[in-house]
Parts: sequence; structure tokens; C-alpha cells
Amino acid sequence: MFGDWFGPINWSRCSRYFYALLIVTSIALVACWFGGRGGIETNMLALMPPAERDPVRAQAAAQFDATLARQHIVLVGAADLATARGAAQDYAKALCASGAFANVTLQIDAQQQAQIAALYAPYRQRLLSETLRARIEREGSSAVFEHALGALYSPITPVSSAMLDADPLLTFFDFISAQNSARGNVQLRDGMLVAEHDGLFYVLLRLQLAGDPFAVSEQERVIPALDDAAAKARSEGARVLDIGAVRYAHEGVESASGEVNTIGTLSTVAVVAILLLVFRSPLPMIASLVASAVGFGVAIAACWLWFGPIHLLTLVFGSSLLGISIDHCLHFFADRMGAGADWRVDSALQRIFPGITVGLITTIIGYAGLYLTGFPGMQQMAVFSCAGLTGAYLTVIWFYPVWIKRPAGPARGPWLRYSEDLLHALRPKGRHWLWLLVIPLSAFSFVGLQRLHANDDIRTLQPVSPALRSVEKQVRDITGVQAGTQFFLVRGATPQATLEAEEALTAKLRGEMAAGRLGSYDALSRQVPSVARQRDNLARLRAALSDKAALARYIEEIGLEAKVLDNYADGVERAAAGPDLDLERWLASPAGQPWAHLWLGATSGNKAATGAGAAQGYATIVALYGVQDTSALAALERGDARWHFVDKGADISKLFQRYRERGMALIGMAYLLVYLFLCWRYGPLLALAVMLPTALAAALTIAGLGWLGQELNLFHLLALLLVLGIGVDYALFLHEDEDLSASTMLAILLSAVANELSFGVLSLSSTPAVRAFGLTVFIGVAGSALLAPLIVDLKTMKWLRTRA
Amino acid sequence: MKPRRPILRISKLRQACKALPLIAACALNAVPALAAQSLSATDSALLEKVSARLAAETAVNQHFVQEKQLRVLKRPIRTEGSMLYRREQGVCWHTQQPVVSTLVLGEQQLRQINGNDELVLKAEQQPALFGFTRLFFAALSGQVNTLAEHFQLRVSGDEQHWQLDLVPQDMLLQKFIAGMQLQGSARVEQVRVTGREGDITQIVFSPFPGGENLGDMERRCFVR
Repeated sequence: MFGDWFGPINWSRCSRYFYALLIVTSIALVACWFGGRGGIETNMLALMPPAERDPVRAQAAAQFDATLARQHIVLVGAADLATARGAAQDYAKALCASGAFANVTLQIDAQQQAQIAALYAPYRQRLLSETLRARIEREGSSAVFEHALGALYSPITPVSSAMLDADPLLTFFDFISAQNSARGNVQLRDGMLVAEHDGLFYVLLRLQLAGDPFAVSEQERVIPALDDAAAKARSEGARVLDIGAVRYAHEGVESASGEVNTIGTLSTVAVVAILLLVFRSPLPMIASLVASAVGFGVAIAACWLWFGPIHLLTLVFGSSLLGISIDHCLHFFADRMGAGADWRVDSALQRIFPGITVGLITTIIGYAGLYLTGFPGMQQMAVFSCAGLTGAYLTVIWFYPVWIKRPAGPARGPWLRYSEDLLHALRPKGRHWLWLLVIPLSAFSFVGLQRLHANDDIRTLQPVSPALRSVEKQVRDITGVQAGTQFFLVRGATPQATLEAEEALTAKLRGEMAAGRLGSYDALSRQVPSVARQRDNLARLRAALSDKAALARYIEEIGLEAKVLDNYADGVERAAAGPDLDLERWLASPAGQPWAHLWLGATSGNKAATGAGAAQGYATIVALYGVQDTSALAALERGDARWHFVDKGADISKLFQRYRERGMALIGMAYLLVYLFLCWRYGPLLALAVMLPTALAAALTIAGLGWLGQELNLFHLLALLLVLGIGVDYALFLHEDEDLSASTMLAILLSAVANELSFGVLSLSSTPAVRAFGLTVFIGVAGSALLAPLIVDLKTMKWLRTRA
Repeated sequence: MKPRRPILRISKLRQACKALPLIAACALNAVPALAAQSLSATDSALLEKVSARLAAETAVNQHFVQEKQLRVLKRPIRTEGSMLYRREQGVCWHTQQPVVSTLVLGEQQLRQINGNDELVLKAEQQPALFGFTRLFFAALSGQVNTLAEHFQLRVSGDEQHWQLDLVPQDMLLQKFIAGMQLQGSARVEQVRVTGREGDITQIVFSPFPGGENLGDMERRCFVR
């Protein structure tokens, strides 16, 4: 039916196209490999679409991720502090010797701290802590004196003569005290950060990775170094906990590459075994492997050309591609076995060509749906699968004719007869009993659908092992630090405007802290106030000093030598003409380095996305800790365009929801497209009949997921697209084969089994997303194959025949 | 006009800067004493007794006079008030002279009460300040075990009139404090902190004055 478009085709002449395909593919593979487009990507985030459309927000999110990703936290614990310190020192030494890390921080150098304080010292008259500033704003400039008196009278302020001499109003002392970087339960003890938990002392080490934790090469360097150092510390009787992005990434790669092997091996072995069993000859198996191999090569070449490095997960899915690409070969060999000694390759291809071509097109329509999701990972899989399938298809129609010319041997086996029997059983004898199935199935589906709920929470899809989760929890409990995924992005036209915006924001954040909705925050403006704020601080100090009466009272009250304050007041006057503390210089200094990740620098904004006002500027991050009330913080975003609340976890979940909803529309569209394509070929009624088994199977699948208690997410829906692509083929083949030959039925059964073997294995995956995908395809394909014979029943209905 | 002295005396400023990180340095929780104390057998027996005796007190009410003597000040800064210690609730430092203010250190938070203003600092927000405060109050209320972790202890006298000399072990603490001296009998009666630069802080405890209403103060300190 399809061949009539081209007239009789001289199949054996097509082999030259095949050789051309091989050459082009090889050249593409080699060129990509050496041209730097080849390779394998393992960063799971690369599969995600950008959560932010605004480029600055996307950059902020990426930088926040990158900074977090390179940090690694280690706790070395022991029953007494001395042992813990010793073990931590040895651990640090071992790691430094390994060279796997860019930076290993164990000791906090007192000298360095003094340096940092000295760096601020020349600007000390311009620096006021946020708390003191707020008090001055509230109570007037006399608050400066009251604050100093409070500090002097307080039993807990460690004031010394030298301090009072240089800083008689204790404002600089107050500013420096607020700079403290320790947080949570972690405290500085003799140069090391120590936390105490459950009777053990833990020394905290901060490591910084030299490279990208998602790169396999980096993991191979870092993980053994960590494990060796930990083993050494454990032999000294210490306990070691370490956590960081590289651990998660490594685990992901381990399980994924383990799955590539398992899924690939299992499906290959099973498919090979079935081919040998059914065809009783190694040729179909070898020919299928050749077709799959060519498909695989074409798929990788296409992905490299299209996207650059291919993602590991794409390969995981790709390994199951074997199951689908084999369909074409199955039809070819089933036909060869069915025809016996009279078989000729030209007429065989003429027979199967229409079926496998329409099948390929419908499958590609299904996969094209994957591409339209806009999900980078899904797009790769779509291109990979379409290219791979086409490659395998072309191998069958272009290469098989010159390779396999002889008919099959006499050994046929019982399988063809079994298919024959099955067809007989299905062939209607007056009554269309198969249709009775539709009613209970619809009822089943309807009830199942009621039970289905959606859940887009990213955490349920994240494959983190219980062991790793337990380490994560212990580290959190011991340190008392909850590293959040929430932060504010602050923007301004100039660096100074950005700092000023930060100051406006942090004033609000302090309100949230006081109300118990926020634990703490990190902001650059706390370390380096904006120039405007610095000058204002200075002005406030001068205003306080100009109140001679208050000054005299202060001097009198504490018995300070008058010249100390005279000197100080002179210094403040001189400072007015002095320089401001410069952000750029501070960032480059040792004081600025620990905070550099909060500075995003100049951003080139996207005019179209953000409007003319924010076309270009600067941005900083205000990191949040211990967020108790997300919605209250998110509400701060309203009313001021200078800052945005970013919640990475929630954003990704929202993203999944958006794509899931879009996915529903896409499924509808894909089914419609396939239907339109079939209409063009068969007319509207027959097309409907061909579609019916798959559509029913899809409904059954969704209902089945509901019955199984699965929570619907994006990955279920993507799998449904695949079900469409694969499932419609079965009805199609049965329909295209006018004579309803046993060989067609056999090919369909084999194909269904092969598909189940490859996707069935996916439902055993440890990655919930992959599992959801596998399970859906498993039910859908089984349903499609079992319901496909409905078409046999349908075709015999008189009213349909007359109308078609 | 007489020539002005240079206003910024770098050396002093450096000293000041060095002293600042000390806040971050003092940090501790109540922990078992570190073993490394070089005490003679009799000393160690006395220390045990003193420590046990102090630890036996579950509630202490004292009047205090604190004097900070700083070189740059013509006279000491003198504050006066009451200290309440409750083993379960913490330490309350209520200054009455020259200004009224209250500081309450609990297990996980530090409350600062000035008139109607109340500021609550959670341990996790200000760990350094919190740690320092704990150490200081450990000295005032005689929590020997806590002190033993950060100081080398020497005990002298007898059970009725003992004196504890403390030398800081912690490197950063050493930069600031030269030594500490505790004297007492059933309770700590006098605390003397000697700074590196010769600054001296002295606290003298006396029995809680009968005229004051203890109940009121307890409520203010420990009931919220």
C-alpha cells in the first residue's frame, strides 16, 4: 500500500545509500570526538530546563549552585577533643598530600583574623554595626554613648585599655564583633571549628574542590582521596562524616552507570535468547544487532552534532532503544520464516515496507512530542531515539537486501504455528465478543483515574540513598546549620546602588529574624556598607561627638582621660576627608574572599525579559539560613523590584508541575497528530479504529498507575508519549497486513516482549524518575499489544468496511 | 599651638584588633574536665572537694560589686547588683547601679533586658558571644568542670578558704586574659580577671541583701 508511492523499488540498489550513511556517521563521530563536541555529560542539572527565564536570576541560581557544589564539609569526631583534633590534623594532611582539593581549611589562623580587623581599621569611623545603626535611628545620636556605656557596664563585654584607647565609643569593636562567621553549634576553639554533639567532639574541616563535582574525572580523584583519609582517621579511633555535592553526584553516576550495564546487558541477553529460540538461527540475532549498532552510532552522532556532549541518562534510555529498533528486523525475519523456501528479499521488503514505515513515522511523532516539552534531557532522548530508530530502519531497508538473500532453512519451530492459532482464536466467528472487553476496561480506567493524584515535589524524584541521607542529617544535627536553597537576588544599576538595595532588604530581613521567621542571613553590605551608608555612619558619629554636653557626661561617667576622646574626635574629623572602604578592593582582600560567592558582579540583562529599566546592572546574593516561614519571605519580594526571592527547591518543583501540565497538552496533541497522519492514509473511521487499542491502553495505563498508588509526575506523561509511538504500531501492522499472516502476529508478539524486556527493566531502576517512566511504558505496551487484535475484530464489521 | 600627637597609634590599634577575635575564641559548653591537669594528689583531692561543694548548690543568690580597672580610665568602672543562679534555669545578672539592666543566660539563649526592651539572642545566632558569656558565668557560679576545659587550674588553701588560680590554655584566650583568680568557701566570693595589658576586673560577692524582694527578681529573671 505504501510501496505504491514509489512504485516497485529496486531494493538491492539501495545499499549504496547505506554505505553513504555509514561513512557520514563515522565521519561525524570522529569529527565530534576530536572537535570537542563528543563526550558524556553527568551533571543531572544539565538535563533540567533553566528554572529562570530571567538571565540574571538564572546566573544567580547557577552561581549559588556552583559555589555550594564545590564545598565539601567534613566532621572528624572523637570522645575527647584532643583525639578529634589529632585525627582531624592527620586527615587534613592526608587530603593535602592527595592534591585532590583546591583548599583544605582546618585551622583558623589568628594572624589572619587580626589582618582582617586591621584591613577595616583605617575606615573604622565609617563602620557601624546594623544593630547599633538601627538604635541610633530610633533613639538619636546619644544612643552612641548609651551603647558604649552599656558595653562597659556589661559583665560580658571584654573591653581592654588598648581597645578603649583606639575606639573609645566602642563602635568599631561592635562592628567587628558582628562580623563573626561561625554559626550554628560550631564554635572556634583554639583555632579549630568544633561542634559538640551526643558526647562527641567534632572538628569541622572545610574543603573546596578544584574542579566540577559532576565531572566523572573529578569524582574519581576526589572520592578515593576522601575515603582513604577517612579510613586513616577511623584507624585512629575517630568518626568521620563528610558531605558535599560530589558525594551525591558520585552516587548518581554509580547507580546510573550500574543501570546502564544492568539494563543493557539484561535486555540484550533476553532479546538474543528469544531470537535464537524463535528463529533457530543466529542470523536474525546478528542482523538485529547490526541494525541496532548502526542505529546507536547514528543516534550518538546526531546527539553530538545537535547538543554536544551526550548525557549519561540519555544513554541509559538509549540502551533500551535496542528493544524498539529491533521491530523492523523482527518483521523482516518473521516474514522470511513464514514464507519458507519461496521467500525472496525484494517481495518481502515490498510486503513489510508499508507497515514499518508508517510505524516509524508514528513512533517519531511520539518522540517529537518529547522534543516539544523543551526539557533539555527529554530533547536529547527524543533526538537520540528518532535518529537511532531511523538508523536501524535504514539498515533494514537498505542493507538487508544485499546481505540476506537466501530464504530461511527448513527448521521453523512451533512459534509460527502458535501465532497462527492465536490469530484463529481472535478471528471473529460471527460475534464481536472482543468488544465486551471494552466495557469493564472503561469502568476499571474510570475508577483508577479517580485514585490518581499528581505530585511534582522534586524530593520524591531525587535518587538519594538512605545512607547518604543519614550522613546529611547527622551533619545538619551536629553543626546545627541548615544550608538552605533559598536566597534573595538583589540588583542595582551600579555596585553602590546594589549595596543600597541590600541595605533596604536586610532591614526587612532583621524584622523577620526578630519575628522568628528567619534564622540569619549573609549579605555583603554587612561586611562592606554602601558608600552612602558609610558616609551616613560617619555623619552620625560626628553628630554624636558634636554634642559636647553628652560627650562630657560620657567622659565624666566612665572617667576617661579627656585627651583620648579629643584624639578620637580629631580622627573622625580627618576621616571625613579620607577614602571610603571600596567594595572591589575589599572583595580582592583576604577579608572579602569568604564572601566572594555573594557577589555576582556585572550582569548583562535581557531587555525583552526584564523591561528597559533593568537592562544592565550589578547583582548580589543575600543567602538565608534557618528559614521558618517561606511565604513571609517570598512576600518581601512584593513592593520592591530591586530584589527577588529565589527558592531553588520550590522552583524546580514548580517547573515540573508546569511541564507536567504542558505534558498533558502535548500528549493530546501527539495523539491528534498521529490520528491526522493515519486519517490521511486510512480515512477518519479506519484511523480511529487503528488508534483505538493504543488510546484504550493509554487510559488503562493511567488508571493502572492510579490503582498502583503512583503519584503522577512529568515522567509518567513522557512515557505515555512513548506508549503512543510504540503501541499504535501493533494495530497498524495487523491492519496493514491484508492477509493477517501468522508472521505479522509473531513479529508483533516478539516486539512487545522485546519492548517489555527493555522497558520492564527500567521499572526496576533505583532512580524514581526512570522507574516511573519504565512502569508506565510497561503497562502501556502490554495493554497495546493485548488490545491490538481489536483491529482484527473491527475490520470485519460491515458498517466500517462500507464506510472506509 | 602645641604639635598634635599622631592620632592613630598603629601599635595600639593592632593590639586592639588582636583582642577582638577573642570574642570568637571563647566558646564552650559544659563538658567533662580534660584529664591533662598537673595537680598533686592533695591538690586534686581539694579541687574535687571544692568542685563538689560548689556543684552541690542548686540555687545561689548573691549581691555583687564589679570593678573594671582600665589603664585609660581615671577610676574603675563600678557596677553593682544581684546575681541569681539556678541550676536548671541559668544565671541572671541584674545590674542596679549605675544603670538598671538584666542579663539572663539560659541553656540555649541569652536575654538582655533594659527597661521595657528585651533582646533575645539564640545560641545559634551569636555562638561566640554566647560561648564567652557561658565561660564567664561558669566562673561566677563556680562550675569548675567547665573552667577546667579552658584553663589550667591550681588550687590552694583549704576547704573553708580556697583559692583557684586559672591560666588560660586556649591560644586565643591567652591573647586576652593573663589569668583568673577565684576565692571562696561554700560559694565563689571573689573573682579577679587579669588582662594582658594589666587591666583588672574584680567582682566581689556578698550575701543577698535582705531588703530586696527575691521573688520579684526571680520572676523577672526566670519566668517569661
